[in-house]
Amino acid sequence: MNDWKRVVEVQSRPILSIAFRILGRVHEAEDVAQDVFCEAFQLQQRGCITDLPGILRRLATLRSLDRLRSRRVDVPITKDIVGSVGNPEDEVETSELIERLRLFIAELPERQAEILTLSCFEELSREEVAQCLQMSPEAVSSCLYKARRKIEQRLLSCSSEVNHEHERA
Amino acid sequence: MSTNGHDRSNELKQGDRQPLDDLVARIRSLPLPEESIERVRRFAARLDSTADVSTERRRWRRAAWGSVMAATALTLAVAVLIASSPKRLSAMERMADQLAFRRSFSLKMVQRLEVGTNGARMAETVVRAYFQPPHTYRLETKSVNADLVDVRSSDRAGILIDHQNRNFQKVPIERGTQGSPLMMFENLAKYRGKADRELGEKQIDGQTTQGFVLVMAKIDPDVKEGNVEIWIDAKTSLPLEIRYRFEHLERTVTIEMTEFVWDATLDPKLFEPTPPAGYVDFSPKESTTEEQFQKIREAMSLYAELSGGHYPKVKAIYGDMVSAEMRKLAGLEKNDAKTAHNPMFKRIMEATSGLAAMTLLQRQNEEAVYNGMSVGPKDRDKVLFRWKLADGRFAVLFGDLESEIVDKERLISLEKPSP
Repeated sequence: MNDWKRVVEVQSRPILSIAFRILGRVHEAEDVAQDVFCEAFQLQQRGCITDLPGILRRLATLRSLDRLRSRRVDVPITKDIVGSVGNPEDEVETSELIERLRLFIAELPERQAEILTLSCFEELSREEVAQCLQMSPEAVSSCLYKARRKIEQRLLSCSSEVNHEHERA
Repeated sequence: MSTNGHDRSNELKQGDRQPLDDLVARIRSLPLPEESIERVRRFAARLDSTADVSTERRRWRRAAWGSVMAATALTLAVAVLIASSPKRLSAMERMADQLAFRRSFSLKMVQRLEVGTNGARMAETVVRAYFQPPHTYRLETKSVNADLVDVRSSDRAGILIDHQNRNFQKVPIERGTQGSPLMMFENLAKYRGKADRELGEKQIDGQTTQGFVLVMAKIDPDVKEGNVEIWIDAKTSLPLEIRYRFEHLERTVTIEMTEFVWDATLDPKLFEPTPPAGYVDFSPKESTTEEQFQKIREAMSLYAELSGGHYPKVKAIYGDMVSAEMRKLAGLEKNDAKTAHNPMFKRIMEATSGLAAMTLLQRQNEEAVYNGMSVGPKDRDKVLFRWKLADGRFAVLFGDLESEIVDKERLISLEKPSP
C-alpha cells in the first residue's frame, strides 16, 4: 500500500465525518469529502503538502463551511432551545435547533468558524487546532472564546425571542 | 471535551454553555452511514491511479448524484446538469486556495508617496519582509531617513532596531487578533468572493501571470481606501506582483510587492530579538492603565465630537486611518501651514497617541476588544473597549468613557446581551 492509499484508508472516515457534522446532509458531505481528496491529491502532486492529514482536515472544514454558507436556510424559531435539547421525544425540534446552530456557525468569521468546528465537533485540542491552522495556541483560545461567545449569545437571544413569542401567544 | 481552549471558555462562560454543548453532543452522535465512507474511500483511492483527477471527480459526482436522484426524475435532471458542468476556479479563487497552505515567505515591498496631481515624488521606502508561521515576521525598512529592523512574534518578545541612530526598543509579544502589516495575505487566503475586475495575462520575468483587481475594503473592511492589483503565477497560482494604491490626505500612496519567495527556508537568526552590541536601549516607559484610559478617552471623545455623536464604526482601530478620517471630518485634509496652525489639527494630533495605544493593545493583547460598531457615547453600561491586565483583571472603558478595572465575572455580566 503506498502513502496515498494509506492516508485514504485512515482519513476517509474522519474527513467525511467533519463534512457530515458541519453540513448534516450525507450526500452533500460525500460530495465535499470527494472534492477535498481531489484537491489534496492535486496539491500533493505539486509538492505543496508537508502534513497531509492536517491539510485534509483543514480543507474538509473550509469546504464544508463554504458549502454551508452558500445555503439559504431560514429555520423558524418555534420552541425554547434549552427545554428541547436532550429530549428524545422531540427529535424534530432538536433537528431544527441543530440546523439553526449550523446557520449561526456559517455566520461566524471564517477563522472562528473553523476553530469552533475543529474544537467542538472534532474535539481537537488547542494545540492540534493551532497546528492545523498554523496559528499560535493563544490565538486559537482567543478566537474560540469569541466564537463560543457569539454562538452562545445567538442561542440566548433566540431563547429570549421564543419566550417573547410565547408570552405574546 | 477537555482541551485548553475549552477550559478557558469554561472559566469565562460558566452557566451559559449548556445549550451549545448539548447541541454539539447531538451533532457528534449522529450516525455516519458506512456505505458513504466506503464510497469516499473507493473514490479517493482511485485518484492515485487516474490520469485526470477532474474527469474522475465528474464521473463520480454523476454516479453519486445518480443514486440519490432515482427518487425524483425532475431533481435528477437538474442535478446531472449541475454535475456535468466542470468547476472552473477563477485566478482569485486559485490564489486564495494556495495562500491557505503557504508555510513561510519573503518579499520586497516598495512604498512610494507622491504629492499633488503631477505625481511629484516625495519619498520612497524599501522594505524586505520575512514571514514565518504561525505569526513571526521581520521587516527591514530602508529610506533616506531610516534604516530599521522590526522583529515581532506571537510567541516571544520582539525588537525594533534603529541602525541610523544606533538604538533599539523592546517590543512585547503580539498576542492580539489584529494582524501584522502582512495580514493582507491571511485575509486574501480567507477571501471567498470574486475579483472586481479581471486583467487577463501578462509576462513577468518570463513567467505567464494572470491579474485581477480587488477593492481593498473587501479583504480588510477597516481599510476603506483603494484597490489592490494582484498578478499570480499561472502555474503555481501564488502572487508574483501586488500593487496597492490609495489616496491619503492629498497624497497618493503606492505599495508594490515583488520578489516573492514562497515556502522559503528562513534562517531562524532573522527572527532573533537580539540588540546589536553597543546600541542604546530606547524602550519607552510603559504607560500606566490610567494613562492609557486617559489617552483613549481623549481620542474617542474628540472623534465623537467631530462625527456628531458616534465612535469609529470599525472592528479594529488603525490609528493612521482613524486620524485621517478625523481630519476629513474637521475639514483639515490639506497639508499646508494653515492646517498646521489650526487648533483642531493640534487636538487631532494629540488624539493620535490614544488611537495608537488602541492599535497597539489590539495587536499585543489577546483580550483587547473594541465595540465601536454597536456602542455609542450614550451607552454608559456597555463596554466600548477592554483589554486584559497582567494581574488577570480587565481594563474596561464604557460607552460614556467612564472606566473601571473589573474581574472576569464582572466582565461576563457586563458583556452579557441585554434581554
